[in-house]
Amino acid sequence: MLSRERARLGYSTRLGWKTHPVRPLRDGPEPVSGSCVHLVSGQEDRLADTDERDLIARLRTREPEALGEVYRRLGSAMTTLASSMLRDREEAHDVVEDALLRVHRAAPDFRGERGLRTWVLRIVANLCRDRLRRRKFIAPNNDDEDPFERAGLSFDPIEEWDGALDQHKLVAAMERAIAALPQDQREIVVMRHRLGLSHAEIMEALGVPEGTVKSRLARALAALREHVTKEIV
Amino acid sequence: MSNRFELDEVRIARLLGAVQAPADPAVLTRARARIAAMGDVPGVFAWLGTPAALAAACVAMLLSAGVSLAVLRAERPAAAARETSLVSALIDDDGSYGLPTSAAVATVTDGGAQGGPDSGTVSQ
Repeated sequence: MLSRERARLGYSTRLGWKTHPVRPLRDGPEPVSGSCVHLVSGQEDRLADTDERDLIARLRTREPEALGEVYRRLGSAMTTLASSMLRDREEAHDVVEDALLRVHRAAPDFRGERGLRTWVLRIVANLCRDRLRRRKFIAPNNDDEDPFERAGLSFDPIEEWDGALDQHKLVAAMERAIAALPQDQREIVVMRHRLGLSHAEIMEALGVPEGTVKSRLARALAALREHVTKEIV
Repeated sequence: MSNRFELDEVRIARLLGAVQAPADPAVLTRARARIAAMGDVPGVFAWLGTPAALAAACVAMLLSAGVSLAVLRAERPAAAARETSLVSALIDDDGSYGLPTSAAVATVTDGGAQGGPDSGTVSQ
């Protein structure tokens, strides 16, 4: 049971299957919440690499449709990261818009070593940090406010969930807990568990060592657990 | 909620993964409009807004400061050579106090004979 659960959530298993909590890079434009599973064989990896290399080559030549393709693939991840970090829908959209412009400007110099998703999310994370730095204050945690409404986030009910636990209440408490996390922990927990990035991808995206990623993640999860347990129990 | 409520990592991850934000097509439209607007700006003005322009301006400022300093340093010895103090001018003077010698003599002679304005004589 536990291994099935872990597999659904994107952890590597011994069966050679890799899972992603969010849609894979090459899926369609509509965001799919929850887990989805796909086989990562060597052939599929090569196809994905070729596909991404083509897109990067098109981006580098500033082909007009290439930016749209980037947004089609990564728009949901970009918006989710920005919304989760900033907790403000309009500001998150502004950040994603700025990120697209930066992608367009910087594309000719992008060689693709880091991978497109990692590079784009790094740009979004940097812009979010700039915004948070400029705010110079932490918004008060208002328990009466719908944590999804203002942030522009949407919740898809989880299947196979313990009926005794109210999902909506838990998720709302979780969002308030995320909002209360320090920025460096928040971005890591969102990238890992909401966007499905691996530790190595998070290292690349944030430019921090693996040990830092793991320690921040552990601290963030402990804080989330404590905050939600306090609120719910 | 029951007191046996346990929020393990798997549940936390499922709760976190169930929340997403959809991409808004209007964002891409706005970004494209801004890119198009950037494209309408003439090349020089577009370049002026880049970090390279700022760097070029800094380099130009440093260059001009360096050139100015070099010119000032080269000019200073020549100016110092031209400068003469009052003492050195008096020491070097030959008694004419800067006036032509023949003119000085003529002035003294004419003034004594004709009764100039400062001679004290009354002219008739």
